[in-house]
Amino acid sequence: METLTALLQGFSVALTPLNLGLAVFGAFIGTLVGALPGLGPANGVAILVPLAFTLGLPAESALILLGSVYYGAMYGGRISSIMLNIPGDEPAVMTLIEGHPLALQGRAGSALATSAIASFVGSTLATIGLTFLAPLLVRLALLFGPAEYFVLFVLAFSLIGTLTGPNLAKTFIGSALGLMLATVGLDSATNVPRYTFGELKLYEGFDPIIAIVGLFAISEVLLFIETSHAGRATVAQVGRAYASLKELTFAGGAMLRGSVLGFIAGVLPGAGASLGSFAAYTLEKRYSDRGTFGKGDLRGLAAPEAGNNAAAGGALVPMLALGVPGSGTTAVLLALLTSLNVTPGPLLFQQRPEVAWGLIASLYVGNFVLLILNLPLVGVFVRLLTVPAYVLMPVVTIVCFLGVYALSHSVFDIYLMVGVGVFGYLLRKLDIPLVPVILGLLLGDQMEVNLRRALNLSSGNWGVLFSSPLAITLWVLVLLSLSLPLLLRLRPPKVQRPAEDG
Amino acid sequence: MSDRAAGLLLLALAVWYGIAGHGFQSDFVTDPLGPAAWPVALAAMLALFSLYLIVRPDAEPHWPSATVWGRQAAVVASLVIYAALLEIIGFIVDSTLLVGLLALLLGATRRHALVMGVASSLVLYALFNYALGLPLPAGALFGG
Repeated sequence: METLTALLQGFSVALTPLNLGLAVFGAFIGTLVGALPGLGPANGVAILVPLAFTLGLPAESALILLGSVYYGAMYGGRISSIMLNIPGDEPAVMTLIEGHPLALQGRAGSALATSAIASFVGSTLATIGLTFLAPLLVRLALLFGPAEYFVLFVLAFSLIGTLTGPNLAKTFIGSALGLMLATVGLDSATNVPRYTFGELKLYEGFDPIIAIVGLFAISEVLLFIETSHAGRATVAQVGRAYASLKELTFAGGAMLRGSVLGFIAGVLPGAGASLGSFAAYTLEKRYSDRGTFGKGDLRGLAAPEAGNNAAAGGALVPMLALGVPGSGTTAVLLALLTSLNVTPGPLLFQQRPEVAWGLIASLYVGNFVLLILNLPLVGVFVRLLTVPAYVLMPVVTIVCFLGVYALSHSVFDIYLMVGVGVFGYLLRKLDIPLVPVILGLLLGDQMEVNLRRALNLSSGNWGVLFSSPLAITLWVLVLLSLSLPLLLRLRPPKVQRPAEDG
Repeated sequence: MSDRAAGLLLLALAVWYGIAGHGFQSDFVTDPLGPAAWPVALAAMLALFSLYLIVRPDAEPHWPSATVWGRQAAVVASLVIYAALLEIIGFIVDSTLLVGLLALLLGATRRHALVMGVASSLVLYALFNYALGLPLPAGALFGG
């Protein structure tokens, strides 16, 4: 009941003309970002962060704008998977397996429609899950002391380690690099400058927004140069995006199964949408394949599509309730919030309910907007797919520069962004994932602060980290998460070169 | 080979980071750990995993050809030059040059690149300066 009252108040925030307009705009941009190969959700949101910031939007409006872009990207990724046989973003890789064969059979219309409805089902169920799970998690998190928070961060990093990337050591290297970047600046407990090289600009620390835009967007431009093929892609023919009732009931069960799996995958910190769609497809294939999968089975299309959208909603749960993002894109959203002086976590729901509930309510609204954009209006996006790279990439680059420049009017920041971009390119070539770097940069300070606070309270006794039942439970989860993948081998396959994970 | 080289560089970084971190101290004691312990722990973590990378490297990543390297280097150089010139020649001229150059590198014809450069810089300038109210540098050369 309490939750529903809070949600209603959220709707009063989400339905103001400004926020409604931002949600519609964000949904459009998001679908476009998702659809265009080479622009993933994390990229798309990262590019818009400085803009949302410099426009002086209030925190809830900025978050509504970027939250809609985030949800929209999850819808859009399927369009290029189906039409071009190129995943629009990493989570859409699994959509390709059944989606493109359908398009080749002349059933692009029903593939687009079924997957749009699967996306809608996944997103809506996940948003409902978010509505009820987040307050529960908040209640739990209020019991956390510094020691428990520290172990929670350890858990987040161990989950990322086991769930992303093919090489565990490389994921931990990424985490270490991010955590090290976070130590640049004045130590918050003692005001000792660390790794500042006497450069005054570095005393405040490394601005995560500059790091994010550099790591994701600039490195993407460099990778694009490498893989781009001049000329236009060929697009399959699409009639009207339309699915018959028979087709929808056929795929309905797959949508529900995919949604549940995706949501669970999303809630795990560090896993994100790629795991959601991967798990949903794999299990759907095991459950209902009678030799039709891989040749254009609508169920194999609906399950991962519902899965990746549900995971996107699930990933918001730990980000909002605990301040620990569940994926790369939610990490970017976290960076936005901290830059706006809003601290996510249990106190967010009490102190800034308009931010937390405004976002959640706007996601319901955004879902309806996205359904409209992706069913009757999907032709617009299909046509935009033929925009050549030489139009898209330069404009993206300039918008990145403008965003960062507008933040501080400092050319130094642009140099820093380019430098970080080259660094990010090298990391990606070496298969060192970027998401742990970003998480390390964002969470590092809080992780250290909580560890030191815990040890301060216990006068230096390390036993404090294992003293409460809650902390011990979290440690057990850490151990489980480190040993689980060895038993299950649930890991997304390596694909050619998708845009960075959502 | 690439993994080994990266591992060595990261190991060097970890050693430097750890030694520098070890030296941090506060004039007064505030907490049992102090400012040095966390960096030293991170250095140890990075050192450990970079050693692993040196001992057990992955298969060689697919590095681009020398021509592509050249194009990438050209992109990085043009980004740096863009930033350096931004406040001098102003947003419009600077962006026309950058967009045009990037479009050429991505395979546009010269005419398309020119049209792209002029059109996008003018549209973005109008959008940011007037619609969004974010003033962009007009350029010192033009009295901005």
